[in-house]
Amino acid sequence: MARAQTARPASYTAPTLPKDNVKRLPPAPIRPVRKVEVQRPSAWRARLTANGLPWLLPLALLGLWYLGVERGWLSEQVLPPPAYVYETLSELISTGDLWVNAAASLQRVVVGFALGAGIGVTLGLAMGLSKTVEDYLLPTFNALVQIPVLGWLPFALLVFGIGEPLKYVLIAKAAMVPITLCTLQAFHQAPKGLLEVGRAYGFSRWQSVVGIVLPAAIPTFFTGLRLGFTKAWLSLVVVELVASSEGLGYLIVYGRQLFQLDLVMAAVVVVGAIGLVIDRGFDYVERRLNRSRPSAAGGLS
Amino acid sequence: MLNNSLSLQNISKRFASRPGSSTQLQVLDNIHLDIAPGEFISIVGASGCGKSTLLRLILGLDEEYDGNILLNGQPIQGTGLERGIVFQDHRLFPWLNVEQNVAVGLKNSPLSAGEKRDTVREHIELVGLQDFIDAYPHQISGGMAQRVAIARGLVNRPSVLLLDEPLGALDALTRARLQGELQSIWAKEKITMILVTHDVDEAVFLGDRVVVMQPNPGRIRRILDVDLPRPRNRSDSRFIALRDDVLSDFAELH
Amino acid sequence: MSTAIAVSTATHRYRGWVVPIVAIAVWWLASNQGWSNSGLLVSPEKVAATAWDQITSGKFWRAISASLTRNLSGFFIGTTLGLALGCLLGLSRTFERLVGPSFNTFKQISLFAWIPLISVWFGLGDVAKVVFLSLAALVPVVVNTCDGLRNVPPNLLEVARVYRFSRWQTIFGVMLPAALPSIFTGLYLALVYSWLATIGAEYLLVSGEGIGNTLIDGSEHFMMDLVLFGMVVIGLVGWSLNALARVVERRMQRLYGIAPR
Repeated sequence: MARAQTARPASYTAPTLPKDNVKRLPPAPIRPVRKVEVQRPSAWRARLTANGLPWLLPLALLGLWYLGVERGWLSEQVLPPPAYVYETLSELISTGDLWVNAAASLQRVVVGFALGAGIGVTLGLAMGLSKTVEDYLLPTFNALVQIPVLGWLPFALLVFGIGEPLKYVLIAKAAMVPITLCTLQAFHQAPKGLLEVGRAYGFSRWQSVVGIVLPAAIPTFFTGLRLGFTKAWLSLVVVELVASSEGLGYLIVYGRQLFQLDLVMAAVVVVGAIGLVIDRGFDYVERRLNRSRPSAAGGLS
Repeated sequence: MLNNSLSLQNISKRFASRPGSSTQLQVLDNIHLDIAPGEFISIVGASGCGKSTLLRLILGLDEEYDGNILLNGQPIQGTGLERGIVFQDHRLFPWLNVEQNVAVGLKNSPLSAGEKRDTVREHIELVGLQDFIDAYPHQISGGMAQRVAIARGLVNRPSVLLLDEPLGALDALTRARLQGELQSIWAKEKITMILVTHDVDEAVFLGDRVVVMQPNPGRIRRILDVDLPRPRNRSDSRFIALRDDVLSDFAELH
Repeated sequence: MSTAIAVSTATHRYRGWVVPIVAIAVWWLASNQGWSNSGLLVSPEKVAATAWDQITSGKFWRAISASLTRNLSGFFIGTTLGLALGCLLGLSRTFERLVGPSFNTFKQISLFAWIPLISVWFGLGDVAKVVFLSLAALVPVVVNTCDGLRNVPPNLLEVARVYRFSRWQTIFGVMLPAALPSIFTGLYLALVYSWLATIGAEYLLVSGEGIGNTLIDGSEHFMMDLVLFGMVVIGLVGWSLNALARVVERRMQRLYGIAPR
């Protein structure tokens, strides 16, 4: 009969066991007790250091910049005083020059992106839905993708000249590539498990696509859109630097040619700011999208 | 010969249920356990009873608790090579092969290079993986990876080997086989082992004593003596009776 | 997502050739039959002839070696600095809090927007270009190295604690090997971005030689054949970079059992 003893732990003696003749490690040497009375900083102090620390470097650089100009370490043409840049920026805003140029740039990006997205989605859908189309088009597409937008620039310059179509075409190309690839990938990565469920319930091809593939493809598709827009914005800047008569890139080139570095810097700041806003915007939309779906692949509801 | 007894005295641990909140969770409440050298202790309990937390305290990964943990009469401080562990996820380094992974255990050991190589080989043979000595973790099965983890746990001959649900991630057949292997490794190495598991069968199969824990707060409900000869037979009536006895504890808890 | 998706089986591969062959045929017909009067419609033979001329006269080699030298110098400088900065950001909390946010803001700004400033500070020559290229290579290396180091699985770090690894042992024995796939992604991106930056720099800082210069020259002189030749070269370089990345990726897979991208 097995003995199941319910014993109070304190009074239980352990059974003796055969001699342990294997050399075992002794306990680790006792390290000095590190119990230090940690003074918990008050909550607001902790928050101050957390929020304040990131500003240390920019402020230091700003300080150096200011000093450099004051002490005349560099000529004004090489490094304009921060005050000038601020003035130029406010001037740009008040005279409306900023809006004119920013609007021109944004309009190009939006139109180009819309164009590129339209073509990209169509191509991606076509290749995703039909293997035949994919076989015919994908290799050529891949080969053309190897040539970056910058590589297409001179060609496009020759064909389209310096006008607006040049920008639209190049930005469209930049946006189209990631969108097509992501859309196609979304089709390739359609959750096979769920498709089998569809087949078990007799879904037609159309029902499978609309009911299973498309909803599951939304995150990848969105990533493609986001990438496409980022590339579009990047291409816009380059194209405007090379060939344009208005826009933020043009402001940069114009300022450079007149050695008005304050203008250049102001324009760069605006470019950066718009890029940041766009990035945050996409982040927000992405989070909203992801809130309504559980993690990972396969979640449909 | 060292008296490698492990003694847990009045162990208690509290967690704040949410950072900054005032309500606290009593994860462990006054745990008291004396473990003799060379003993095999199985700790069973449902999820949330604090058994894994207890293991982490003994291991030294967590140093915030009330009470004393004494190894060989001396309080433990942080981690130490004399307390080994096998985790539930094998935690092998993916960029090292089997031999190198086992050697990780000896990285800070005072042995010479030759001695290290020999003892690594010895322990790989102990778990029966000498044919896979150059394989990488992604090339071997889950059961084999866990055996490598066991070899790594034993390679520097710790006084105590802790096993945190080591077979939980494996399929039932592999699990049964590895339980047998663990039993024979223990018999051979004569090392104190503390196994944490939610599988009552496994606990009774492997242990000299079975410690049943209950949650909220984590306490020892009772300790059973498994007075059966080894190798254990799962079909033995006494085994079944013991196992049912332990299981009855869990039925009551609902 | 700049890589292309692989094409399927052999029979299907033949289909892939249909479009290019038809396109070239139509092109040849168009130029031969004079469907357009524009000087831009050059025949395929003319492009081939220009290509041949470029290669044999050595102009191509000079241009490509100039570009590649600049590219590699910028790549090495940028990568070295990037690895150092990335490691600092990844390993030290304080450093990350000090420099991290500023760096994040900095990397938001389109890289090319910096060129005019760089041209004022460093001139139009090779120095300015290499500075720009280093910058282009630096950003992805820093981001990916820091990412890789911060995302080391905490499970493995606990193993290091169990075996009493010292801080250096943890960094070199666990964190860096675990971060290696990310670091390689960063290096690959650095290669791609610095190549793109090379071409862009040659458009905008026009002094000197290079494949980008060849292209821009072609476009300024309305020599479509030269432009097309340049495009093919750039495409080939891009393709070889991708091929290189695939080789490294397969190596990593053998070692880690996981793909770096």
